[in-house]
Amino acid sequence: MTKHPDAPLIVILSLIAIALFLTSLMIGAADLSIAQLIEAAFASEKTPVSIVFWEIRVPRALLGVITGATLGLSGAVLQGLLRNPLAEPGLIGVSSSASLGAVIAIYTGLTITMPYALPAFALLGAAIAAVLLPMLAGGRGQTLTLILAGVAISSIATALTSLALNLSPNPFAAMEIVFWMLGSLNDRSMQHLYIIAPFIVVGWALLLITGKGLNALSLGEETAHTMGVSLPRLRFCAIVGTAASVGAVTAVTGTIGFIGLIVPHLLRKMVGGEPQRLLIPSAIAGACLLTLADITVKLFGPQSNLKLGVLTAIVGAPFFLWLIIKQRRALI
Amino acid sequence: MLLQLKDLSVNYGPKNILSSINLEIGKGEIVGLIGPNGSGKSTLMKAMVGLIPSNGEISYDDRPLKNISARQLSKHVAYMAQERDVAWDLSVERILALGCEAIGGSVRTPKHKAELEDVVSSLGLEPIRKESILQVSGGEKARALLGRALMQKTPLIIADEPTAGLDPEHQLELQEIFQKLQQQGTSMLVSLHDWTYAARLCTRLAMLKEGRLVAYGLPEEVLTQERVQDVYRVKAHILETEQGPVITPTTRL
Repeated sequence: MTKHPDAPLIVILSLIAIALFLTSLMIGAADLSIAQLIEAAFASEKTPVSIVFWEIRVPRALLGVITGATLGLSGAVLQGLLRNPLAEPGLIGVSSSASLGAVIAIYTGLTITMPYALPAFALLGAAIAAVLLPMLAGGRGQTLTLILAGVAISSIATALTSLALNLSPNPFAAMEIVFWMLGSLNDRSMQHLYIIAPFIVVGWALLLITGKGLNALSLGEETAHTMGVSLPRLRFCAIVGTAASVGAVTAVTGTIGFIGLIVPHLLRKMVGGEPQRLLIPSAIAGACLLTLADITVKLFGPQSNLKLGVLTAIVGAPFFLWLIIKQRRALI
Repeated sequence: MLLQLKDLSVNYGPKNILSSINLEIGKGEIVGLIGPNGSGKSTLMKAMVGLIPSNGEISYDDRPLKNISARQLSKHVAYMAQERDVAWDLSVERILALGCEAIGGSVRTPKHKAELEDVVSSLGLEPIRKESILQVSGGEKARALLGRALMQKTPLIIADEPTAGLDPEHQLELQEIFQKLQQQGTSMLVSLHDWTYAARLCTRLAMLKEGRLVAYGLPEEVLTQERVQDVYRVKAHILETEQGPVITPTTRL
């Protein structure tokens, strides 16, 4: 068996991801030593430290890894599908529709009576976007119409979210909506992870089987069709996979931008530009980047109230600008 | 027959783009598809590979296209689109490998590795095999993309204006490659604008006018003064030489 060409890259990224995951477990509002945490991890009885470890730190670190991996993977798939290095999960309207669903749950006060109304509504929002997108893009669903349909859905969802804010019954609801939309991993439990797990598993599976089709699509849609790629099937896997996985993580974390855009850029040259080879490294690197961002948020401390989505945008946007300047020649 | 079209027609809404096309391509033929801009050449090629819906019958090896999956079709025919835009910074060698992977192969196996080496050497891609497809010249890119089609190991290659944008040297180079492939038994359907080139390269020519096939036969039977005037609305000067005919448009009608 020939050695996989990306094995070293995948191993290195995985080691970084594990190191960051463990670091994330060690950092938090409560000042706990490594020894205390190790003891808590294996404690047979519930202690205050074991509760902090298992019910606060582990879900947060896991959610960081899952969210980052989802954003990195879906970003790589969408860039391949749309043959565009500027594509990202937000482009097809799934994130903003999930946000709209969540905002409706907050706005109507359902979140007070039913704690899991928020993720449920957000998932519903993402599902509606996934159904609307191919309908708007038309049967043949070509790249340009897909992008335009995504932008249209995104615009409508953003407009309705603004309307909800505008008509918000009280300032607290408005504040809650805004804070939720800024994106965060704070105060999420294992229950949240259990709710989204099926969507993540299905979403990732659909995204990971697009690799071969995306490779052929590098040569254009017409050529890909004659290379045995069923374009409707490929689009279905990419869009439904993104809707399920990104919709699920957005439902729990709020909107977190730039990871899906930047990660594939960082890795593209390392995998010879090949869309299929970009998928797994993008997922792992996405997990690394988001966990690193969350560690930074935690280091600022709870009193700073810095939100993860704000940090990824503030760091991501200039970084992206730098990438564009660096790659300007190749992009033109 | 490798490819057979019976009464093929294509409509965009009420507009009739192609009507009643009957065509057959057998083993070892190079069929040139000629006709003015807008006569339906690209549409016909796209319909043949199922890229656009059509009426009538298209069959590969006597199997109707509608019964052939995309996966199976990739083993019957390789298609070179007019669009030569490659989205990502892939190496020439990887582009060739994609052709092999399309039919379920892998260039890591000795058999397909040997096929890759064969295509690299027959298309003269050795000096650029590691280079990025985005960095090579137009002629090199055309050869690399043809190489990708060859790696599908199909009995038929359909190429939409493969010589577009190529200088005379590279056009002649491509002609030699096509003729070599023909000798090896591969059939080709190529759309062309250069009559002289078409007459010298092709075993048969199919001439389209406003979506209809007005002539199909040997180059000298198809490219006559009267037909060129009727279809292209230009007068042509036809000169017979030892290397074949030289056909030059002279005046517009």
